[in-house]
Amino acid sequence: MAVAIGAGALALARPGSLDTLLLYAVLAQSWNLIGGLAGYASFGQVVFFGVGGYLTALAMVRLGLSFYLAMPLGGLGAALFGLAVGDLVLRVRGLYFAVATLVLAGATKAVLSSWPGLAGPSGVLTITTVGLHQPTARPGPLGFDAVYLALAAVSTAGVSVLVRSRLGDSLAVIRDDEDLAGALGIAVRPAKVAAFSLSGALAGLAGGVYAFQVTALSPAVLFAPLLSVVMVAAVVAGGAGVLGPLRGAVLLWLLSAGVGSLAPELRDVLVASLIVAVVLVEEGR
Amino acid sequence: MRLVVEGLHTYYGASHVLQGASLVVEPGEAVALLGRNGAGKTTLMRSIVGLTPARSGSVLVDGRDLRRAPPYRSARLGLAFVPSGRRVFSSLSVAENLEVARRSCPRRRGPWTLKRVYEVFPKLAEVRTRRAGHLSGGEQQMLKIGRALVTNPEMVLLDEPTEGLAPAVVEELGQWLGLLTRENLGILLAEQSAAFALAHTARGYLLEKGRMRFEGTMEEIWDSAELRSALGVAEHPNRTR
Ligand SMILES: Nc1ncnc2c1ncn2[C@@H]1O[C@H](COP(=O)(O)OP(=O)(O)OP(=O)(O)O)[C@@H](O)[C@H]1O
Ligand SMILES: [Mg+2]
Repeated sequence: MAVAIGAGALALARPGSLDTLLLYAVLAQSWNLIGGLAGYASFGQVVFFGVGGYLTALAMVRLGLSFYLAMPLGGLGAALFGLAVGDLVLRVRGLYFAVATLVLAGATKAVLSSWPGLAGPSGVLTITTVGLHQPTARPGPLGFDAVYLALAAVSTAGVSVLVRSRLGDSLAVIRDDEDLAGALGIAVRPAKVAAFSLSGALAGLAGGVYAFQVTALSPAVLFAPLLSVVMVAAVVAGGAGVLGPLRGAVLLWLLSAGVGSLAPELRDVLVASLIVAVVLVEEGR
Repeated sequence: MRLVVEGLHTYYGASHVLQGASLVVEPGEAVALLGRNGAGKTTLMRSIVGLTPARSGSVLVDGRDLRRAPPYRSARLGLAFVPSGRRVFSSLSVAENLEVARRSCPRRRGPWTLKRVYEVFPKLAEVRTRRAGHLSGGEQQMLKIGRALVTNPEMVLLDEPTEGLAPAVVEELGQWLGLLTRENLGILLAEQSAAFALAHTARGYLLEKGRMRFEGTMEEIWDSAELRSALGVAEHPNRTR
């Protein structure tokens, strides 16, 4: 367990690494869809990352599927999860939605932690990467960078198409005044659930790549609350829209890299405090 | 479109706001919904369009019960709600506000286009690129009405349209209501300011603590000292019709 957490933290932490930057970019676009475009600030967005990560790993380990098939399945599973729970959590707004998503992530993590069939007795689900049973040869660091880059590009392209679409128009007015949007004939609930589900797909895909990168998986690794915070902060710091989340991802990446090299042991605390500071400054503008 | 509301009960949490409210608006008819501050006028309108669904009763639009339908259903059937206050999409321009409304009910065809709205409200055309949040109260009122019109409704629910408007704009608003009536649009007009409603409708309901206390013609309301005092109207104003 400790090893899994350590590995997870390390992979996430490796200050300055390109994969972290690209991961942040995908996560920021994921949060952007629901928090930025629809105006529903989710504080449990990591739930999709975790669901996508686990589904990808299970598809590889249990079904022997190739990573390149398992990852899209993980993304699809996360999207369906968003579709299933979206209607419920999106009934409340603002602070209540933030809490609802926080609880959703916590509850999902708790359920997976106590699920006996999910992993072995150690509680760690391992994607085999050596020997004859490996479903897919593990790409090198550059290979992961390339996969993350592709995801970041697809996410950004997807968001830029979406903001110009009818769904994008609906989300813009829902963010502005949801009741009014409904009274004017906009199908509010379906639009919000669609945005939530799409945001889930992006985070789920990222979780799938991350799972294969880390290989030793536990709920603590795939449902790290810091990831939810990173997603919120990237969009708050960088702004919504198409390019804002990318700016935010760069900002957070520099921030965490800087802190990581100065005071590695304080990294999480410092990053969290800085994020809070950034959010407060942005809010006060 | 014929609107028939029967025995609506609506709650905000535990507070029982509408306690069996009923009303009828015939096609093309202008009807006033009167009542003091907190009587439940806004709640009744929100329950009709589904923004605050009623717990029991029925909202029949041409015989179809919409009580539990989402708000977009009533809008797409041609029942437009014009909320009170500065309810415009403030970050969008005037033109975008109209465009969004037009596109939200794509199947509704009729005489109202953006062009026609600009002809009827030339002031709106002048500010069409301005952000709706930066408009004056009167301009926002025009935009709210124009936005309802581009969905080509058959009936409009107007919640306190005179609120916060200068007297000159209130007079203009009266003319716009006349136009809607000439176009054969049904109107339900919620007003605290009874004088305005009485001047522009022929029939009205008086809502008190979530119940219909009275239903009748404007003459009947004016003739009853008791009703006038319930409405807070002391004297007979100059009748405009
Ligand atoms: N969102 C809400 N939550 C709880 N109570 C509410 C809510 N909105 C209105 N109420 C209460 O419901 C009652 C009816 O309010 P409503 O706004 O429908 O009255 P109204 O006739 O429109 O009044 P006004 O003329 O002031 O607009 C009031 O007692 C009000 O305090
Ligand atoms: Mg009101």
